[in-house]
Amino acid sequence: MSKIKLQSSDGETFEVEIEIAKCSVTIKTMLEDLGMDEDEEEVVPLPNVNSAILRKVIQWATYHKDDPPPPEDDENKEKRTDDISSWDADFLKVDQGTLFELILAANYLDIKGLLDVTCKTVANMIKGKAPEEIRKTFNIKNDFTASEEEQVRKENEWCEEK
Amino acid sequence: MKKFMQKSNTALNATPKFRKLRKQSYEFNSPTSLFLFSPENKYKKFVCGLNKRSGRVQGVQKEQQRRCKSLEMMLYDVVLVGYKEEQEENPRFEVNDDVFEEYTPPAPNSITECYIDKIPDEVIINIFQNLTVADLGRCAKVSKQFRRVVWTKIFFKYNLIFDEENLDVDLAVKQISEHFKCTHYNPWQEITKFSVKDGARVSNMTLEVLAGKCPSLNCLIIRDCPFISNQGLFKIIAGSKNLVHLDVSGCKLITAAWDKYFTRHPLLKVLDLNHCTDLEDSGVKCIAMRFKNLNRLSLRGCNKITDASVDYISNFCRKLQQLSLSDCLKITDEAMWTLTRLKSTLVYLSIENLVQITDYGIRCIGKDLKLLHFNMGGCVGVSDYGVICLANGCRTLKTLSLSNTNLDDPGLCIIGDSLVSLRCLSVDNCWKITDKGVNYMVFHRRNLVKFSIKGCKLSASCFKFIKKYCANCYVEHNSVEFDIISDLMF
Repeated sequence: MSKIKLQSSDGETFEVEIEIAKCSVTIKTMLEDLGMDEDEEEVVPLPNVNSAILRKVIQWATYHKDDPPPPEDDENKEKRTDDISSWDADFLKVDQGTLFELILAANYLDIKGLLDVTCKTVANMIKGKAPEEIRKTFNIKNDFTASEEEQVRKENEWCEEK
Repeated sequence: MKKFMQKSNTALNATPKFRKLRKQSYEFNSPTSLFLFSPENKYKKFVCGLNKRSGRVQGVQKEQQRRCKSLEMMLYDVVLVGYKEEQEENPRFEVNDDVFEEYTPPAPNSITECYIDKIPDEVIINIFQNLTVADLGRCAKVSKQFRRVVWTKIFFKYNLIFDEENLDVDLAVKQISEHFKCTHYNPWQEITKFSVKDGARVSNMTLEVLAGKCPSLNCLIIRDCPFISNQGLFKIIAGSKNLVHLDVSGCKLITAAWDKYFTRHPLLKVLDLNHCTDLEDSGVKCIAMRFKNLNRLSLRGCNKITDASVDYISNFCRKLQQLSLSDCLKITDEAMWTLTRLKSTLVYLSIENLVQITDYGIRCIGKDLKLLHFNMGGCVGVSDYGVICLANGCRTLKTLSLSNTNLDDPGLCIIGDSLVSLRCLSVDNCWKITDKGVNYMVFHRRNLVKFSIKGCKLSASCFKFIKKYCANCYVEHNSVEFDIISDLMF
């Protein structure tokens, strides 16, 4: 199995099987566009991902390499958030900083499966919570002015806080 | 096996902490969860005690599994509930907090930095797509960024799902649409799916609004809403010309009785009327005549309907592929005979718990229908002979449920011999079958992917036999012993 090298933002290189690296659509297109020869010792720079996150991403991709390709987005299909596999749930037991960095990395590298499961994890942290609880969970600042606050309250009267 | 258990028991008794945990887990009747315990990484290994394939804690009540959203919660709950029960039983029980120190669920307040700020809108959209309308409404109150994303990128863009207990959908729809009044954007035109369930409440009024305003609506789900009546149903059918899927399960006022406003709807393909308990034969007749192109019809639990309904359905809905008549207790063998009219289309049939069905009815199905999926669980009037007729006739079957029936070993053997396409089989609580029949069936049907044997009296060697010949098969069972075997094999 041929391998390529991925370089993180902080200069660390990781050797990864090409098939695993290609689960990232970004890397896949990069390889195709640049016509990088698979035999050559190429290093793919990933300036938006640091080594700690890249290591996690590679770990995820290695575990999921044999997964069937994700089904096409079907708007009518109900989104479910309780179907996170136990391996993924374990894998995502990380602090919030890492979780969001993983989301950004998955978004940048265009790895749909990882993006979906991380977004679901965040969605689960939001579900059923009152606005104040949501702010606390993510340490979000309430940046509404008093008049905006009143307007917001009005337009959302129908969903009383829990 | 024995050796392994001994070994882990030594590990368990090594420290007092372990002993305490073990006792708690017994409360939950899940000793297996501790067999993989090791002193190095206690809770990590506790996770291993979860069933690797199903991700469930073994032996814990179903109710609790549903309540606990993530694995983390689940573990926390298990430990916590065990702890509480122990305390109540024995008030003088000394609380040893060691157990809790080792596992603290992350406290939301402990975060000092805001990470979500750095997330671009496109990713926030991705997160929000997993939320329902009520959650989105609350998110809109959180911050400017959230509010902007919710109102401009999410609401009315994809679908509207209301699934919160006692949520007033009428009010929500009114207020949300008022918000859009000041913009030039017509929020209704893009809605393709509207769904109200899990205790949210909607009335006929909102349905009338929907019927007039949403040209793209193709899926409407209104479950268990006590105020929805025929009037709302007829309005929707008359107004939403592109509707393909309609589900009004559990709306008990609906009778679909004849009415001049009840129009035809040739596009409707899927209709769910589960537990519409007032639906009678006359209503089914109107439905069958108006929706001639139905693909799927589900009438589970409509217990006023009789064989006459099935007669109408098989006469008018000649394109019907899927039909559920489960729990319609008045249905008899005659209905099975009339269903053979649909022999060129019908591929899915569910007649669960129809106690009046006998071998004759099943023989009709086996002889004429080319079913792919068949559920006859709980048909206690059918004997093993009926199953043999079915297996000999209906060789196209891929999924078959025979749970709670009189299935016996000869029936299982014929299934093994004849049903070459079979992938999923369920024989839960079939008290007559033995190791011998199961072994024979499994030996001949090695491409099974799911086999459910809950409540069957089968031995451990039979389970090993299944695992050996159907290596890729997911075996559903409720035996702790089998769990240990599969963990060991794993």
